[in-house]
Amino acid sequence: MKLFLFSLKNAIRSWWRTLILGLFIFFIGLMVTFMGSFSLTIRNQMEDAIINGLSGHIQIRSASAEDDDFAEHMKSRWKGASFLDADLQKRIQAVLKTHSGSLAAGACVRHGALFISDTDKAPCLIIGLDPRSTYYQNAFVLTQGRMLDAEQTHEIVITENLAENLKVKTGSVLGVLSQTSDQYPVDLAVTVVGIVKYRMLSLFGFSGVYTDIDTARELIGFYNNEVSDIIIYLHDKNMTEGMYNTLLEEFGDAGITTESIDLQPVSGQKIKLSTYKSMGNFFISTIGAMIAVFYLLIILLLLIVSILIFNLVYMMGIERYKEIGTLRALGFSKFTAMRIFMTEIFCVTGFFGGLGILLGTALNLYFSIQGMPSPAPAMDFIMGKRLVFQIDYSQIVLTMGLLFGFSFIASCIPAYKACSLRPVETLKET
Amino acid sequence: MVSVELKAIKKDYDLGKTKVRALKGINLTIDKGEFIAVAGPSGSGKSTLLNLIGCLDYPTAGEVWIDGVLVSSLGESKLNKIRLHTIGFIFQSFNLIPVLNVYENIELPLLIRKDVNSCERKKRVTNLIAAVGLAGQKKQRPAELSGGQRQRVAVARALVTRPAIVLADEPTANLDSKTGIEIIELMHTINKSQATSFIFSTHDPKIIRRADKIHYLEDGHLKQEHTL
Ligand SMILES: Nc1ncnc2c1ncn2[C@@H]1O[C@H](COP(=O)(O)OP(=O)(O)OP(=O)(O)O)[C@@H](O)[C@H]1O
Ligand SMILES: [Mg+2]
Repeated sequence: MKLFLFSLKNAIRSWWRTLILGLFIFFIGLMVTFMGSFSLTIRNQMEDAIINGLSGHIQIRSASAEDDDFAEHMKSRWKGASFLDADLQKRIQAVLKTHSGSLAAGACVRHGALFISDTDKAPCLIIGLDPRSTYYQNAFVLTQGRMLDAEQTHEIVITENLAENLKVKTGSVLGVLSQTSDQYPVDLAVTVVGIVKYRMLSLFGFSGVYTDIDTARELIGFYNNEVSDIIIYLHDKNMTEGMYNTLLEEFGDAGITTESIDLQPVSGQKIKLSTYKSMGNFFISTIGAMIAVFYLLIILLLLIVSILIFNLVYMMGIERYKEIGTLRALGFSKFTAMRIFMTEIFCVTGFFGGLGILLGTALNLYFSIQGMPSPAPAMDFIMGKRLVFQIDYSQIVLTMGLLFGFSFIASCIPAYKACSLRPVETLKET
Repeated sequence: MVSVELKAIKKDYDLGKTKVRALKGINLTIDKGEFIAVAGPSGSGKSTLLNLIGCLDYPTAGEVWIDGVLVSSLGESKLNKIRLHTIGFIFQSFNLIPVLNVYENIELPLLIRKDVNSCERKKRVTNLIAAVGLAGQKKQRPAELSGGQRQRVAVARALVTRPAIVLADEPTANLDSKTGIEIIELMHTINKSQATSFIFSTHDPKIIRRADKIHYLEDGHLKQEHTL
């Protein structure tokens, strides 16, 4: 205890050095804590954007559907001709009905088509769904016009990107060229009623075009109520895996062959189940990579601080050359002397790092209640008007551990060096 | 009772190409409770000798016995223990810890002694502070003390572990002669009241005269032994 006070007094005596080191550590503690919550929130928002706008939590498709990730749409044309027929849909719905308390299911028709304005044209993914679904509306920030009207057909909602490319506004009429599953060309006119920004997904220039399910069916030639997929929404994202496995089993029991379970096909059609994680994998992992780059920067900063700590402890060793020699002469072992040094560094790390983490957590807490205002309207599609933070308290422990780990590694070598000098050398009078 | 015994001690310093032969065969016996001066010109090997007795360095040849233990063959951690239990040091430039006050400086060596509890620690430190006449200054930092007062703190710190031997390499060199004599007198008084041996080195003839016995070193040899 008294040796601890000794270290503390040393830290206070060289207050300028303590302060410099402390500020760095404070800053890192603050950054890691704040960015931890920020990135957690952004990652969750990305997942929500994919769930709301594209895949739901779980998606049921025909096993012959080839698309395995929505991002493929950006690379090539959507190969959306596979479908679930009306009979299969009925059987699937029968299974889903038993879970009606915990899930909501909606039908969706997806198809690639060419959109043509007076001046330009662009290939896009058409997503036809029930206009009353509130989920897809959550995926957007409406910038012009309105959402789809359930009473109307041949209306579309497009992204700002696409509106710019085609040079159109709300009220403009576009031509749509597509091909039915049996190769007949379809030519249709649709009206732009709303222009939106995708939350998060606009980052990738993703441009789906939303319309009602009947118009989408018309475009692809689904005349018998076929759908591309059935989308399942759950109350809680964390239930996805569990429900996925339950459904796989129940479909098997109901005689619906899922791709992963190799049963004899009953109706001649197999289905494929996927979660938002696999369908939105590209987007989620890209965001993950961006966050990883950020953490890499933090690690880099930590390395710089480590070098700083290394130098400071090294300087401390030189400065207290004689003091160390004296301690050693008095009978302090190398390691006890080292402990005094490192305790000093740990005190600084603990105090300033703790302060940084505290402030970071306070900030996170504030933003989790008040929401962080979007710095610019242009950012709204990423963060929303107010980004409501999510907090993971286990990060506090992790961050503290990280800081202590780095300061330990950075200080033990120079401390060991200083303390293992022969006392005779350090005690020589000049 | 023999407290220190040096047998045929040689000490060379390796300077790459050349070798400095600092001690060239020293035989010396010091009894318990002696008050001894090691005198000699600069470079004669006084510091080297005290460092060897203080277990801070190893001899090139010969044996160092302290309290019946052959210390010249012990490893580093054993030597730490010997220094902590058996030897006290007083340095030329005091070597007090600047951030600690008088009380804390004296207490410091006891903090790593597991066999001394806090009650005993307090008793020892308080008694020693009184013995060196610093009862009024126990909360002061070294920087607030005069040279003589600092060396008194150092004397108390050297004695707090109840060592068998106290080594003092030029303890008065940084003090004016009046204060120097006071410090030597203080050491002498303590030496007389306890069975602690004191070995100090010095150039100063006025200080040398205060010793009970004088060993003269010259060019690495022990010249003669004077008993006053
Ligand atoms: N670490 C060392 N490396 C090389 N030579 C050394 C070392 N320490 C002492 N010497 C040499 O050993 C000899 C004895 O030195 P020592 O310091 O023991 O003398 P001293 O009697 O204490 O001198 P002074 O009165 O100046 O303190 C000197 O020639 C000195 O140069
Ligand atoms: Mg000397």
